[in-house]
Amino acid sequence: MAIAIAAIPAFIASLVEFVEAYTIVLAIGVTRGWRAPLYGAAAALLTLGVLVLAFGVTLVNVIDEHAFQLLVGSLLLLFGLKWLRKAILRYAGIVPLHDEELIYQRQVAELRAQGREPDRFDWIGFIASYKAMLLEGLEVAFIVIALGAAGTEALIASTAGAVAAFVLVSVLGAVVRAPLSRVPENTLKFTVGAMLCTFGVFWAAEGFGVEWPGEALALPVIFASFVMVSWLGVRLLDALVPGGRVVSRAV
Amino acid sequence: MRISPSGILRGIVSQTLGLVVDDGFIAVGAVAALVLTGLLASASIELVPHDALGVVLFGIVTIVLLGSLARAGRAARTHAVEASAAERPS
Repeated sequence: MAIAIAAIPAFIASLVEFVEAYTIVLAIGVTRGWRAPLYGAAAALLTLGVLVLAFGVTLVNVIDEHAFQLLVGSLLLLFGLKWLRKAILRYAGIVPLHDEELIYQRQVAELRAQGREPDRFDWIGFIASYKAMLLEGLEVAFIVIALGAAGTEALIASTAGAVAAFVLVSVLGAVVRAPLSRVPENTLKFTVGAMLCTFGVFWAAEGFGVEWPGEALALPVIFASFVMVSWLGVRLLDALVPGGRVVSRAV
Repeated sequence: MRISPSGILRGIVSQTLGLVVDDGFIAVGAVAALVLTGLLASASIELVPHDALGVVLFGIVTIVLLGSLARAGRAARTHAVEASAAERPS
C-alpha cells in the first residue's frame, strides 16, 4: 500500500511532465540534429537525480515523523491545489488545453530561425534541451522527493514510478517520432492534483497529531471528496462563464 | 528562442517558486487553512474534537479552492465582456 501511494502519483505526474519535455527535445532533434539535445537531456536527468538523492535522503534521515508529515503534507497540498485548479479551469474552458502539436510547431519554427554551424557542437540545442528537461523535471523531482520522504522504500518506489514514466515516454517517442498529443494530459493532471491534495490533507492533519478514522482507508474517501469538489468547481465556473471562454491571461 | 545562463537561472528560480505558488489567493488560503488547523490542534480548550481536525482542514481547503475558482471565473467573465465590447462596432 505504502509503495503504491508513492509510486502511482509519481508515475502519473512524471508522465505528464516527460511528455512536455519530450515535445521540446523532439523539436530540437528534428531541426538541429540529435546529439546535442540527447546530451542536454541526459545532463538534466543527472542533475535531477542528484537533487532527488540529496534532498530525498536528507528528508528520510534527518526530519522526525510529525515534522516530516506537516512539511511534506503542506507542500503536497500547495502543489496539488495548483494542479487541481489548473485542470478544473481547463475542463471549464477558461484556460486552454495543453496542445503538444502546437507547442511542437512553434518550437520547430523558432529553432529553424536560429540556424546553426554544421561542424561545431550545437550548444544551443544542448542548452535548450537541458533547460526543457530540467524545468519540467523539477516538478517530477519535487513529487518524487515529497512522496518518497516517508522512508527508503517509499523513496525507491516514487523514483521507480518516475523512471517507469520516463522509459514509457522514451519508448513511445522513439516509436511515434511525433508529439504525443493523444496523452490525456488534463485528465492525468487532474488525477495527480486530486491525489496530491489527498495526501497533503492526510499527512498535514497527521502532522498535527490527528488520527484519521480507518487510518489509510480514509485516503480513498478524501480523494473521492476532492473529485466531488472539483465537479462542483466545474459547475460553478460553467454558471459564471457559460460554455467557457479561453482567457488564460485574465486568471 | 533566446538562451543564456541568466535566462536558465531565472527559469529555474521562477519554476521552483511556481512549483507551489501559481495563484496567490490559493497559496495564502492553503497556508491559512494549515495555520488555523494548527491553532485548533494546539488550543488548550478543545473547540473542535481533535480527530475531527482533518475534516476541518479538508473543509477549509475546499472553501479556498472554490473561492479561487470563483475569482478566476469572475475574472474570465469580466474579460469576456470587455472583449465582446471591444469587438462591437462603435
